[in-house]
Amino acid sequence: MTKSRTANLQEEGLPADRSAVPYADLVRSVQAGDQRAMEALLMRAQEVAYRFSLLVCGRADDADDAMQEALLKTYRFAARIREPEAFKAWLYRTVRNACLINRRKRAHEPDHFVALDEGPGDGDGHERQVDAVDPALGPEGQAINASLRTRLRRSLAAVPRPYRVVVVLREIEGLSTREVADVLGISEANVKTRLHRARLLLREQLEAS
Amino acid sequence: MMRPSPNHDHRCVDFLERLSRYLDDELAAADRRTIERHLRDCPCCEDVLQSLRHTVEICHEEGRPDLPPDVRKRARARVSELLRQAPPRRAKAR
Repeated sequence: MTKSRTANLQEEGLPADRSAVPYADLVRSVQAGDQRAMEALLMRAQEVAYRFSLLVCGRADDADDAMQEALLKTYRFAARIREPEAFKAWLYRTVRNACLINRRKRAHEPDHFVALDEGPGDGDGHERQVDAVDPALGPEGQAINASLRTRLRRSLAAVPRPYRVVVVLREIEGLSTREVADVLGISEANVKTRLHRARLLLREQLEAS
Repeated sequence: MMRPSPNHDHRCVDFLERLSRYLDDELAAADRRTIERHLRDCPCCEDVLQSLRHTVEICHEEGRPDLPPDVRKRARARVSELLRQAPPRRAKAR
């Protein structure tokens, strides 16, 4: 983004759909003292942590811890990162590390996957829904989408973690091959190999479900 | 892991390994044309390609859940609390 574009963002405010604003632009606005940009960045960091906890770690009950970690580290880091373009990979690395730490704390427990279409219980034996429902869809459309989402998540859960993490970062979070390589500390060639195998494994699971 | 079906011939193994790069448009033009010629003659590889494409589309369309309302509410409350306690400051000029 050019300086004038950044200035426009600050003068006009961020667009209503902040999810479309690139991370680096938000970081630049944060560094210029824009509180709304900081709010948007902190929400995004928590959304990433939530999705990663659910889709990669399969532990909805760890999501709150990961979200808190992502929130605090983003708050501390966003104002002082020298290369705003590097923020996105940093955020995913941070979230991944937070999830791994949570996993190590539970090393004595077997890997278990919450039925993500149902969500974690509330402690009283009641299940709550994980996803927000899109009100623009009719009841039938919502049911079809929910069913497809459930199939996808159950299939993802059956893919071994080293492959699952690549397919989630690349296909669901939309990171580039270079960004996935940065997050995982592996070569781009390795990312491509893992992505291909991950897609094949996920395809097999989806077809079997 | 992907195993060629009995209907695949020996060339398919090599093609199957390159299907993701084909899908991602990462192959050189000559390799792309070679694969496209093979796909026209090999319904099995064409089936694999279509199902891989479908898998990727499902991930793009359905993979990214929004925060449920109660989780979003907690997330917003955490942001408000943090910024109330310590508002963001401008980065120092470098």
